[in-house]
Amino acid sequence: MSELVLLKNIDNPDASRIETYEKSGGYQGLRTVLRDYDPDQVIETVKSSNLRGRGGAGFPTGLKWSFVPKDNPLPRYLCCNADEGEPGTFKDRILMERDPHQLIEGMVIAAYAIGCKTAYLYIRGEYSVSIEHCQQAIDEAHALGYLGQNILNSGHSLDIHIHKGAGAYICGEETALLESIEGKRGQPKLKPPFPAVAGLYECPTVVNNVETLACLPHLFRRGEDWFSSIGPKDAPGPKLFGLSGHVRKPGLYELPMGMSLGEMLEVYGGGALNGAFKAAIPGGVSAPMFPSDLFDVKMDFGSLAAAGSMLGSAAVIGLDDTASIPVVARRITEFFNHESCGKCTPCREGLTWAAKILRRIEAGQGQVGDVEQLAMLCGGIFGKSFCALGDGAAWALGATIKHFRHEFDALIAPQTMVS
Amino acid sequence: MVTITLDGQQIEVEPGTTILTAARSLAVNIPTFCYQERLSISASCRMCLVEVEGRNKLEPACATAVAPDMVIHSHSEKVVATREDMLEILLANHPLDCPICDKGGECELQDTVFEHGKGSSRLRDFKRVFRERDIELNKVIVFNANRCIQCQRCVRICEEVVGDVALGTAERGLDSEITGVGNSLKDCSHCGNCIEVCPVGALMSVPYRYKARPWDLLETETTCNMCGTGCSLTAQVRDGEFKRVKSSLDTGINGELLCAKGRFGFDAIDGGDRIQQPMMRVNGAHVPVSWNEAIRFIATKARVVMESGGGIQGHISPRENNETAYMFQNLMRRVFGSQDIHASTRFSGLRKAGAIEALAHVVTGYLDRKPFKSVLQAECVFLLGSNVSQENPVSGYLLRSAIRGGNKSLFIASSRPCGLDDLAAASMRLLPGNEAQLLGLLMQDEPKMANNPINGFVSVIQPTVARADSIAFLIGTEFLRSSLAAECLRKIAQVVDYFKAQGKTVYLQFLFDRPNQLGLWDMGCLDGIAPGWQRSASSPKTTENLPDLTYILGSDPLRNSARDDPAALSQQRSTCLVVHTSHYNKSAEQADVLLPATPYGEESGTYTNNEGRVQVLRPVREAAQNQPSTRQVFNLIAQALGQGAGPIGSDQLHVPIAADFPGFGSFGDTADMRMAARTSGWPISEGDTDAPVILPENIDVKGRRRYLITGDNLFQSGQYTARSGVLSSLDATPYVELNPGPGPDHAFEGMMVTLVSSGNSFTAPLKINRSFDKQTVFVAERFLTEGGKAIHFEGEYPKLVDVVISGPEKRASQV
Amino acid sequence: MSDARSLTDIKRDLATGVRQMRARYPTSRSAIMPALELAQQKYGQVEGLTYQAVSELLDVPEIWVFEVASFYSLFDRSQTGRHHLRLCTNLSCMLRGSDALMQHLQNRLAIKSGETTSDGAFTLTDVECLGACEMAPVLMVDARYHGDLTTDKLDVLLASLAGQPTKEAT
Ligand SMILES: Cc1cc2nc3c(=O)[nH]c(=O)nc-3n(C[C@H](O)[C@H](O)[C@H](O)COP(=O)(O)O)c2cc1C
Ligand code: SF4
Ligand code: FES
Repeated sequence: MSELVLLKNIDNPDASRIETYEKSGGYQGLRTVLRDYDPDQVIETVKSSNLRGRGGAGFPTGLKWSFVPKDNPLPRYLCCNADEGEPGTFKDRILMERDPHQLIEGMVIAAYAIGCKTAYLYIRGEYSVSIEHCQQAIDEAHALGYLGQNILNSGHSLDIHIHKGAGAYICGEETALLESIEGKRGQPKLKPPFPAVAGLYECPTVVNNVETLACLPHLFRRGEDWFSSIGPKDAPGPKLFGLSGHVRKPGLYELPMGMSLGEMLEVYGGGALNGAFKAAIPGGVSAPMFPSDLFDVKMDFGSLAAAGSMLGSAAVIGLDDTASIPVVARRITEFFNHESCGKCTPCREGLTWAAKILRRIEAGQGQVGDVEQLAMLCGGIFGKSFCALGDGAAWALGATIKHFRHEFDALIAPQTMVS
Repeated sequence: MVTITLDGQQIEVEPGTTILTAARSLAVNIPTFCYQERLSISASCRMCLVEVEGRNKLEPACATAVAPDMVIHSHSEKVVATREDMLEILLANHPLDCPICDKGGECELQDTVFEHGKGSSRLRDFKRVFRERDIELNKVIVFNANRCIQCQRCVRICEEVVGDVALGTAERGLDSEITGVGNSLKDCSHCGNCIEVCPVGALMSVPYRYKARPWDLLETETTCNMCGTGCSLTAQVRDGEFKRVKSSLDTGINGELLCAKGRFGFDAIDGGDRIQQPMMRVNGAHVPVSWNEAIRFIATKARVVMESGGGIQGHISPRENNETAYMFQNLMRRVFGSQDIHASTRFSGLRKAGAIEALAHVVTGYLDRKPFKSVLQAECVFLLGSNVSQENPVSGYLLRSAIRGGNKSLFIASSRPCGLDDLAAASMRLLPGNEAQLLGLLMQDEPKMANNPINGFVSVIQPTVARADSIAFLIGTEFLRSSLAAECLRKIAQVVDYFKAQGKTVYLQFLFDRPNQLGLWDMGCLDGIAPGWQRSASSPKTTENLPDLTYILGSDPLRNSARDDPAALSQQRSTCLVVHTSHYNKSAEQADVLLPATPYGEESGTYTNNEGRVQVLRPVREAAQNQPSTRQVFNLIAQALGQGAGPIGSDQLHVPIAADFPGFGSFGDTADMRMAARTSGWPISEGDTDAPVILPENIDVKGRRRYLITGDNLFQSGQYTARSGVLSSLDATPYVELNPGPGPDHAFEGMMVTLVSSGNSFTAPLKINRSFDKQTVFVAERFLTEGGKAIHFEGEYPKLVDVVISGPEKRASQV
Repeated sequence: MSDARSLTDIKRDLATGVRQMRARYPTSRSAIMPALELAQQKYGQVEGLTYQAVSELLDVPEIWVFEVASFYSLFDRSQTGRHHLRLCTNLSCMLRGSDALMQHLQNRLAIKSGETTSDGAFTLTDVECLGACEMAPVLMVDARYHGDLTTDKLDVLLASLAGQPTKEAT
């Protein structure tokens, strides 16, 4: 395995303290930026580095920042998305708990680039350790002049406030996150206008994931060339993968993108917990699963998309022979149903209905036609819901049927013969 | 312009147009649920998804702006199938209890399923049931959660247009449920607009519940008679019995909007005590007489008065229509030979010398008879002397929408706080009559009155006003009650000239609290002003010169005016009091001759609203049999006095009306009624407009003295609304509204307020409103004029009264 | 919540904290979530009077406060036990036996998920992914995570909690 970047200090019990962080080169990236770059150059560098968002959609970070209008007199906001809730995902929590200054430094750099003076760090409410450690990091950074007024005498100022989530997965969706900071129910907002143009309080806003922002100090400390040398050209930089489920060695792994799913599960995950893998989910439960015969797929944005799934939050969940796919499908669908914000018809009504059918099938009361009903519901939701939650739910459920229809039929068949 | 292709048709549309708007302009039917004109776009129901070539996802037509050369398919196989799926999913949890649902027959979901649905559902599992029983959110709104499709139109209209924020959504996902705090609607105006916009039978009207099926109802489109906004409404009647009022997006200044009075007050037509036949006072008691006898008596009396050179005075209610008003002034002028005509006794300021001339000057030369919509386009809207949200609620809703939607500033200066204060860029409390002072200061480069709050307010708003290219003045008519009415009117004219001279577009409209105030004036129901604002000799009027005969049509001046108010005195001392009205009231009790009149809802005619728009009134049911209509009675009196009968039909009357008032009834963006009226003898007279404003003394209200002001509230339009069962149930108990000053609200719980003035007093529970200033106290007009001992204004407005707050905890304490 | 607490009490309790939260945002509406959280920390739950207090302290419509309180699942709208056990039952935890743990907890505490023990000691809730799948199955006890659980470890945990009187601070 190559050099660890994001997880370099992960096992150091003092990693969260600013002294430790500074000793290992922390805040050097920020110093470089404030000394040598004007905001536009920061954006250009991030653009040409090809850093892509780690929050799920893989959107090029520099490009996103460049959408912030230059001539808009309104204040600009940076919001860090630390609402991590995609089942299987825990990378941001570990970063915030163990080495939060990477994130704080990254936020200062990003805020400088877009001209933001107030940033919000939206951490899901359950993450109390992350909240404590981030607050501590903010306070420490303030004390040493990395935050607050006139940072390192650069003239740039920034305050970071933590906004605690309160138990709603949908608030990870960026517009819902903004609504939540505005004190509303966390329901996605219509796009366009995109947040970069009219986001938080109708002001230009950038929303980035924790890991995305945590990459920035390293990018600026060690340079673009170093950054691009990690992983494939179109998806460079350090990347975290969370392995969980039926793997022997669940945990957080920093690996270059482009490795095959099979290698990741077998080599790093240590193989299946019981017997062999039957399937795996490559990027959180929104990402359609692959049966084990498709494990050759490369773990990067493009390859996964081409194979009909996505890298998402890079949360890899292994499913071995003991897993019942209809049960997995039911649990995933129940999750999305529970977390649906209720705004749009297909997701709100459709997912409940799908969960109802799946529960019935699991209970042995399936009927002929149930799988077709599920397929109709997937079709009615996918591509038609207001935000990507509905899409993801239908997409993930669709894949279980596509690859494992026989398992559903097997549960339904005996019943039908009785009745 | 942008060219797009929709289902094969090419059209050009404005950039920024949505696909839905473009489609509707081509009469292409795209189903929608969450979309509603004037509300923010939600795009959540997903019914309007269409295919746009080159985009891999279907796009919501309601929210997607056209792009150049866009090719859109709104009826492709994929789109049609998606609609079917969406409806199937939507119906999965819908109770399908149409046979017992109030909405059956007029349900958007039902209609859409018929038109776009598949007709069968494959989804067979148990439906979600929120609750077995419906929740009465308040006395007029009841909610069935099971039927709700979460279009959020109700929540949006409540917040974005009405401004109440009474409705919201509880829980999330499929558990999402529309509700108010604690399943009731705190801060609800009871306007029922949420019911109107509900596409299904989720929000329903309590008074209409289970009363009828839509297909059994006879509909009449008419104009509301509650205030000068003049909303269109549809009254629905079954077997001659009034059932409900609805409003439609496509008609009227108001579209789908109505206020509580308009939507729930129509039952007033069934309330009150109807006068069944002519009566005359014999030995102090009313005894029925024949029409012949009554008419003969009036004619004989009138002849004697006229021959002896006595006076005849006429009063007409601003709820009478134009046609009746026109005939009324004819009766007064041509038959009785009198100019002494009054269209509102409440506006005592108009009795001051020069006031009517100033009014004519403003109405003919300055008032904009333009659609409210176009007035609202002004960059700067100045709301002066009006609680628009309570007296003209729908104008308030439209104003709120315009201010929210546009980049404009709203300024408010009025005696009462109003629901738009929160939207205003600046607002202040201003005593009625001080409008003159404020406008005067607005025209000075450097306002000179130090330590005057008006001064501060003016300097805050002046920069914005100076920058604006267009200004709209929306002025309440409360100042007409004050002795400074004439000064205010002159300043209004001056300020319009002043800003016009700076090259600005200036709009002026009044916010009348009665439905046909402007119409009555246009029809010549004013002393010295003939129809079409033509000058005619005015009658001398002093207390020495009391009328010998008073003819009251519809109004109740004996209730409304003060004991020693000249108007009231006149009836008390009149040798003959004729009261011609549909329902018993205070004046009717005093009448020497009592004639039944045709009430609102049974007579056709027109009202002229605040915009100057002449709108049709249609009878919603047949008038009482064997009774001559009000207008017929005028003819009968004329004939008894040897004159000919004129036409009484509404259309026929428009001929003479238009001859006297050129341009009557023509209205639109272009019709310039101002010019038409300007020719009628009220030129801008320099002498008038330069008259100095007499600044009111800035009385320091100390101790327990406060200024009493009055007017309508959300549920009241004078005494008329007391006839409505529904409105009375919402607003039955009198209250005194004021700002009690320091101390937490709960310390005042259960307190009573007594107002005392010259031996009279009025006591009612305290209602705290901290947005009032500490020198005013408000009592709604209906309560003030109800009951025995009342406080009278006696021409003094606002009136200084003593205020005593007393309650269970504290003994009487001063405020 | 005890009936004795009046609106005035609640407003007094929350005023300072709410003012501090309010200062972080350009609009007062934004402070609704933090204000509710403060109230929950203080009283263990949020309910009618809290909504009214927050609405008055922040000068926002009360329905906005209620909407927020009911949308987010971490706000408890009824009294919970001295310890709130939130067991993740989402996929990664399910694959590693959270169903059995849930069964075990229900048996041990003699309640169903969503209920509170009669002695008021524990509330048990099954929750969605806690974001700690590397240590699945995970239980959140009040504000802290406990991972890699087995029924034996659970028993030890329950025993230690039973002696502990109050919730851990957040
Ligand atoms: C339902 C849903 C949940 C999401 N949850 C998260 C999340 O927990 N964390 C996150 O960073 N992004 C999440 N996203 C993606 C965000 O919308 C957004 O794309 C991301 O925060 C952008 O950051 P990035 O550009 O740095 O990736 C979610 C998206 C959806 C549709
Ligand atoms: S798809 Fe619709 S209902 Fe589902 S979370 Fe997104 S907006 Fe809400
Ligand atoms: S009308 Fe367009 S989504 Fe509802």
